[in-house]
Amino acid sequence: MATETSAAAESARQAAGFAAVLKPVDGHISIDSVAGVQLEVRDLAEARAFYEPIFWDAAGSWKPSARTLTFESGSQSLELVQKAKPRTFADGGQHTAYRVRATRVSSLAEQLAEAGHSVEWWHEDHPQERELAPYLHDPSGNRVQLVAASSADPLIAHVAIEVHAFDYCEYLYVRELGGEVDYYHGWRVEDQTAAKAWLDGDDPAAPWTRRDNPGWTDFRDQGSKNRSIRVPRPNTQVFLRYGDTRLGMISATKTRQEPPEEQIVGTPRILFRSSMAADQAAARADAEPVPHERHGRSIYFRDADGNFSELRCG
Amino acid sequence: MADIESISHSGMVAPDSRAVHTFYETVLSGVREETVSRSYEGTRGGNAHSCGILGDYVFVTFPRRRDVAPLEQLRGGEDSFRHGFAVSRTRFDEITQRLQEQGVPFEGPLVHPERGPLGESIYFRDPGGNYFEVCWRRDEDVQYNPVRVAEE
Ligand SMILES: [Fe+2]
Repeated sequence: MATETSAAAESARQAAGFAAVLKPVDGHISIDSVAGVQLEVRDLAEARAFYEPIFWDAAGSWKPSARTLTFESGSQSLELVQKAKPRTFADGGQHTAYRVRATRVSSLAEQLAEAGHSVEWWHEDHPQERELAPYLHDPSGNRVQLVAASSADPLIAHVAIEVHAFDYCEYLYVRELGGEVDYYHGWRVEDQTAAKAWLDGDDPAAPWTRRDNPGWTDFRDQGSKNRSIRVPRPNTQVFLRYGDTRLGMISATKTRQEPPEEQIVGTPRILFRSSMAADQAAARADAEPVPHERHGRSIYFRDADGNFSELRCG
Repeated sequence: MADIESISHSGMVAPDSRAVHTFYETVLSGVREETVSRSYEGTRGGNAHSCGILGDYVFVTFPRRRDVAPLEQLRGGEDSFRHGFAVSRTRFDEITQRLQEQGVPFEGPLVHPERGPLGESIYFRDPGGNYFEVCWRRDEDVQYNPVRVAEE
């Protein structure tokens, strides 16, 4: 044991770099918005046929190349990359939410269901997602949410990723990239109450927003007598704002194989746009411990849970 | 005789446990040490909860509805259970100013008897209604019990 004063202990914590994780660091990288996503699909033509009706009233155009297909709409884009075995998270909380004119949402959902896609109407917990909305998968298993809006511009309302370690991920997305926490779920009594209502009845909450998950003490105290014990819990979520767009961090619903640790550039990935010069953004990224790589005007990041992102600088 | 040496930490409850933690960080300059989440939610149940440090004191926060006095009731009454933190006189003035800037209601400074151990105290509640006192001691130069931290 060493004896230290509390001041020394505090400076040791500061040196460890995790002080004030919640707040963006002074001079953080400034992000204008989520600029899109890059997703893996098994067949570009099949993917285009799926997304075309969704983007029907979005101003934009398709840009094909050999192994990629991009839908560009204003300052955002959906970029599809062809892979024999696409990495999608069909059974988890990772999803991309596209804006669709409110008057079209129901008919579009019907049209997609008639085309053979399984469409579910769920709600989530962010205050802007408490109305029922249609969810489905693209043919490769990427989860899609349709968001009723006054117009399809900007195209992408939010993206959500799965995380295990909130502190580490907030370190990147809040402290380093300046996201503002605009909602969190799972820390409140009312979140617990909502989870009970979900287990009790027919609350159509999106499956990754709730857990039926006995903990150790439930198992110890009741598990031997009641093998079908059910313990409802809210699934922890944190939502960050970048301009008019949002990134959701959803507590991972299962453990998945991550890409090799040394891989920094990968898919699927979130695309961020920054009007900062790449030199300036790279210098700030270099001053922080999160793994990153620079290629031209882009800086690529990998968060602690293996989620990839790309910052496209001005 | 029991060989208990000191209080290790306090488990704090509030209707919004993260709001309480954010208060400790932003108003009282606390540090969020860890949000227990990895491997905890999955197969073991439970919810993410925050552990943080104020000065040298550890708090763990949990969401619970609890019958505490309303925020408007800043001091006294039957709910006088509180955590009292001693700070330097200079820091005491800084904290008072910080509470004013952040719009946190508080009572005091209360001036204690001149020959007693305490100089002044202020009293306030966190967003969950948990009750705090911050004081400066007249013998503020004396180090009573230096904090021991484990070696890295
Ligand atoms: Fe969503």
